[in-house]
Amino acid sequence: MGNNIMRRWPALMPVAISVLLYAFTVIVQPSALNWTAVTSIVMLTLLLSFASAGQTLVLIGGGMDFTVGAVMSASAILTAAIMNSQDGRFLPAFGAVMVMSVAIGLLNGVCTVKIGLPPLIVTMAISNVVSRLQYILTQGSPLGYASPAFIRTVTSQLFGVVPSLTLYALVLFPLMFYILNRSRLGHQVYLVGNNPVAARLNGIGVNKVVILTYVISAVFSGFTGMLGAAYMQSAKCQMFDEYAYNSLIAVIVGGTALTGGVGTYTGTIAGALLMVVLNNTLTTPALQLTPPMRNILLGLVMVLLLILYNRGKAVRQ
Amino acid sequence: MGMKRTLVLLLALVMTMALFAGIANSTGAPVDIRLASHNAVIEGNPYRVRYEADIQEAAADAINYGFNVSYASFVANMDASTEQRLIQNSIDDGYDIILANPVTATGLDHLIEKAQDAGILYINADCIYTSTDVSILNIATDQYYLGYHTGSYAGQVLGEGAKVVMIAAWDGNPANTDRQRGFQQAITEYGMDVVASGNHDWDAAKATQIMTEILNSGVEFDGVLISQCAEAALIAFDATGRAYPKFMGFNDTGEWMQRMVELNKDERVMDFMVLSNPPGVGGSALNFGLNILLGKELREDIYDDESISSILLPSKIWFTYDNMDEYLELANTMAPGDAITYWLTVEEVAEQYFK
Repeated sequence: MGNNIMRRWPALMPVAISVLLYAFTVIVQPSALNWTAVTSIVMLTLLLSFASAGQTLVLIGGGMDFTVGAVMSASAILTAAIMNSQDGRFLPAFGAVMVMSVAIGLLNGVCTVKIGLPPLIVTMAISNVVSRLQYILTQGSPLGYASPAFIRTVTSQLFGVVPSLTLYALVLFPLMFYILNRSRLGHQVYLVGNNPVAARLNGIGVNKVVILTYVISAVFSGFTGMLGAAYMQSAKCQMFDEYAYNSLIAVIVGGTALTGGVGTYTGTIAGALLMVVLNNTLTTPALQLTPPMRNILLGLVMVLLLILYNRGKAVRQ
Repeated sequence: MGMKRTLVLLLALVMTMALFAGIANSTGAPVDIRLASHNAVIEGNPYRVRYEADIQEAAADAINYGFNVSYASFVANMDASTEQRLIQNSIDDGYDIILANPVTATGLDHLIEKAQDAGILYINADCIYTSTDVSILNIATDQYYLGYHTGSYAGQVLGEGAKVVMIAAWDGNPANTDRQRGFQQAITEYGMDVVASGNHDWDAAKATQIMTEILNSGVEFDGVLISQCAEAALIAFDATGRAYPKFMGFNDTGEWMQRMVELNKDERVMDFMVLSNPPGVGGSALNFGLNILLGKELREDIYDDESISSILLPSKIWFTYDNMDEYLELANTMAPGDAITYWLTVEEVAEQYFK
């Protein structure tokens, strides 16, 4: 019964756990119930869910993308360097980021399907190359700031209450839902992830589909990196590297199977919410957790959640 | 007889010139010195990139003191065995000075002894090599001072009993440990109350995240004590729309200085601390070495810990709202990620630390 519910509504459990965790936080620290907390949780969840969008697609297609963090950092650096505090430079920055992202995505995809090595190894190696290039470009030091107008589109609050980042969600979420649930590519990704041999026998260009998932993933990562540059105002090398792991965990906690073929973007958004709320809970001053203890607990909870989802996956298979 | 006297005088003159050629002087040919700078890591760390650049600058400046310093840099990438191999190579290659910022604070005794036996001057820079079985000079920035100076200033502007957030750098890192001792001393002296804490691990995104999470908890506080990455923590206030605290510090980057100058340009909006942790400490360490090669002797009263010959250099540059005007040009001309840096010249080191 429980597994059935999880299969139908994979977002349900992470959302439920998030609500419970936030309730627990408010009980131990009543001051945690405030609008600032809610809006910042929404903002951080949106950023992580944008970064995890492409990762969801790649994982459903049977791959794995460890370049998410490196592409985000590189695009943040490009954005800050091109904008250099000047308004009106969004389009050049966007163009440069997209060219770079498509190139990295193509490299990821082509290397994965042609070399035949596990995607984890291929994308980690390419991530390393992208990180090294950041140092070559910047000599380890930030090159400038995002433009004031662009910063406002990310960090301001509409009517004083709604994070402006939600405007980006109004475009990116439907786009991702369309790709996964309505487009021909989305259906093919599920088929390839389920059984690449069967997909090939059905006339699907498996390699083409896999390469496309990596390109889309890099494009989402690149654009999220731009938003990250606005959020952080400037950009440093490897600044968003942790998003490689965080996006992967958000996707898995959101019910996407590591083996491919199963998953939803709603689940990923819920997984991102859970990650953000869990971090938030562990930092609650009333719990008086030391930073090392916080990290240990975070790791243990993650392992527990992943075990839980692995069990669910076994039942599904 | 006259001829002999002339020859003796000529010989004396040649010997004197040869002697002068061996030490710094402004007229003779400079003495060639080969410097090997060994680093645990450079890439990925703007501080270490600047550290190396400053050593190169100090090496170039040594020509003014009669030294022609050629420089080579080696990086172990946090691998202790690679480090040992690289130092061994430098000993075999016959460098004159080895300047090391090692992977760990012990474990190189046998190589240090080998280097010293080969007549190489071995100096440990920007951290403390703690072994008492070898005798080397340790030159580092006084990290305790950075924490204590910031904490004391916060105590003065916030008043006794103020509630503060403490965001440390990296648990277990020796520099962080010393800074935290300094912060803690000031917190105790001024009776401040730490209501929330965290670590940013010198990661800007993490600093923003931890500050955001502390703001989300709704806990009330007057100031933020932070071991660098202050500008990243400040972003959390912008993103959440929360009012700035009464005090935040310290940091030493162009970005932090520019933000503080802009924020406080019309009136005192937020007290802050800009305090240098200069990457140029490596350049200063080199100039300790050059003074030793000049035959000068270190004073006895300069050591922080005589058993390991450690000399801690106090931070030279700091400013707050009160003396901000003196540093406007510095703040406005620095690149966002650059840290305030300087190194003590051969002459300054001689004046302050040698007999």
